[in-house]
Amino acid sequence: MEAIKYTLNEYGGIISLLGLLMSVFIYIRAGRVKKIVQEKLSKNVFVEKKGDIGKALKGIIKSINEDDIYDNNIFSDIKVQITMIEKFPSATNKKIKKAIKKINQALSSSPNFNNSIEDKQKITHNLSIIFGELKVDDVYTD
Amino acid sequence: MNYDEFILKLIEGTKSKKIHWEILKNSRNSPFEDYQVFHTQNGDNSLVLRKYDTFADIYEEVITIEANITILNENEKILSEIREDDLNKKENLMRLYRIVERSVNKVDDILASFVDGINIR
Repeated sequence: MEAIKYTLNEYGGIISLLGLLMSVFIYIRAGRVKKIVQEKLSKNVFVEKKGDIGKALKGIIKSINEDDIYDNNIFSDIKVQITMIEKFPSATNKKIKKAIKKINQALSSSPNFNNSIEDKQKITHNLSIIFGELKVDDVYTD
Repeated sequence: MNYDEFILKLIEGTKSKKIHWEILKNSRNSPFEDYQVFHTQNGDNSLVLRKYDTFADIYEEVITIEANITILNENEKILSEIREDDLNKKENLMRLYRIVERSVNKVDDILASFVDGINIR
């Protein structure tokens, strides 16, 4: 009994401190695990949806190039697909992010249907880049 | 009939103005329709082309937009439906919607009317 009392008096502070540090470590670790799980779920949804997004982008490119449709309605469709991709930041690579940035710049430079030919080419070119990147299986890394 | 081929023929028919689409009258003020609904008649039967929002995940956070076609008989009974998932090239259904939308709203005709008779030197 005396030995226990002596140990607690002598090392109680250190034991409490170790306990506190352990709690902080577990708290941080749990936060990381939560983030990893969220990213994993996000990637799973993205993998499921990227085929559909790719096909939608292909349709938009065809509408612009083959059907000569280049108006506010198609800008809305482009924005919808870009918003979809941007919902998965951890699942997209640098090329996709760069292409999205360029498309957004082109769309915002003249928001009406009288966009310049350069903007039109820039948009279709960067949509094609995103489409190509989505077709590559290793678009994300575990 | 092959649905992919059917949709491609509808695209060609619409572009060449062989198929005439109109806005579906009952859909104009419908609270259930977020986008314009179009239809084309052939005898007693008609096709209805619709665009709608879908929720891509179980949390209903991600929205995608899809299109479909329903085939109706003379009593407006649905005989069949073609959805994007029924197609190998599912992007063509939305392409068709865009072409029909532009054609029915006569955007190109309106633009042309503004500059009718004006030539660029």
